[in-house]
Amino acid sequence: MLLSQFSAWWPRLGAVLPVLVLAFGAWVVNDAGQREAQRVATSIDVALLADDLPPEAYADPGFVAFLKLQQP
Amino acid sequence: MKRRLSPDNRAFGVARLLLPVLLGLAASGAWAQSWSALNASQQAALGPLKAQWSQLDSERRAQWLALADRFPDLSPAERQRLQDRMIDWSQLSPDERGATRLQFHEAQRWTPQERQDRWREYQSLDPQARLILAHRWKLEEAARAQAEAQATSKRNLLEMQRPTSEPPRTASPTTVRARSGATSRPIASDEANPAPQQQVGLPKVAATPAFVDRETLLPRRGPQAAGVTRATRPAKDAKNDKD
Repeated sequence: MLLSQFSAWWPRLGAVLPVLVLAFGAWVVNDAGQREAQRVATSIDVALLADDLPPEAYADPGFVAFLKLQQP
Repeated sequence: MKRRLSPDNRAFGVARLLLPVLLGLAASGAWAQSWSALNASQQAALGPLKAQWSQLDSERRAQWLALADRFPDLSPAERQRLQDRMIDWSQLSPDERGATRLQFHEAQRWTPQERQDRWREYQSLDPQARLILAHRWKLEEAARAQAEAQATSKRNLLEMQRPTSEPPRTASPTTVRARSGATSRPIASDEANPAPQQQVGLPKVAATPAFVDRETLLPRRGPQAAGVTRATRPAKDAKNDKD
């Protein structure tokens, strides 16, 4: 009984499984990319928000131009 | 009469009911953590955001939680500054946050002391001077974007090869590496004297019907035809052309 049910499911599983594996692979790759982007953004955010200068300084294009007038 | 469902149909029915629910939950971000579900240290770190926590989407919540995990590594002064700036930072648009992050990252070339000194000097400037600086920066950005667009776009004109300060490098034992996007040339080729059909300023491809000989596919006229020797054709064909 169980065997007959399994043999009825097997062809359908063979058709659906590659699609599921592909979808899972795409999800894993996308998730890894998002995690990496989030990790980088978090490390910059921590440094930026804890910096001596306020975030407004770096958002001000005038200050950025002023900073770049004198190269390090 | 009651219809009996087969095991296949039952499984399909359950999946059909569950799928929209799962998709709906994922889309609404209901799986994101609520404020009461945060642990004590996370709540302490993100205290200033408590009032607006429920309005943040799941992605922003995840970003703040990642930031809260690094909170214990900071000094007390840094923690205070970070908390003071949380609300303003959360109210910026993603584009504004991205631009600020980029400028901050670039500013790391200067030491913290240099940045602080320059910021103090900048704040003491006349507002008009600050506006001019901001305008100058925007013009520079626009010029940079335009130059980048020109460098990456394809053009149908042969351009002057600008001499580079870098010494030539080989791409293979017998070819010289060209600039990005160009074809490597053989070491033995004469770069200073390009072929007659490859003069600077001429179009790379001039393939309008009037230019191209339909039989030989060679240029019929124009400066590019100067370097091409026309194939001799039988007298009979030449007579037909006159007709």
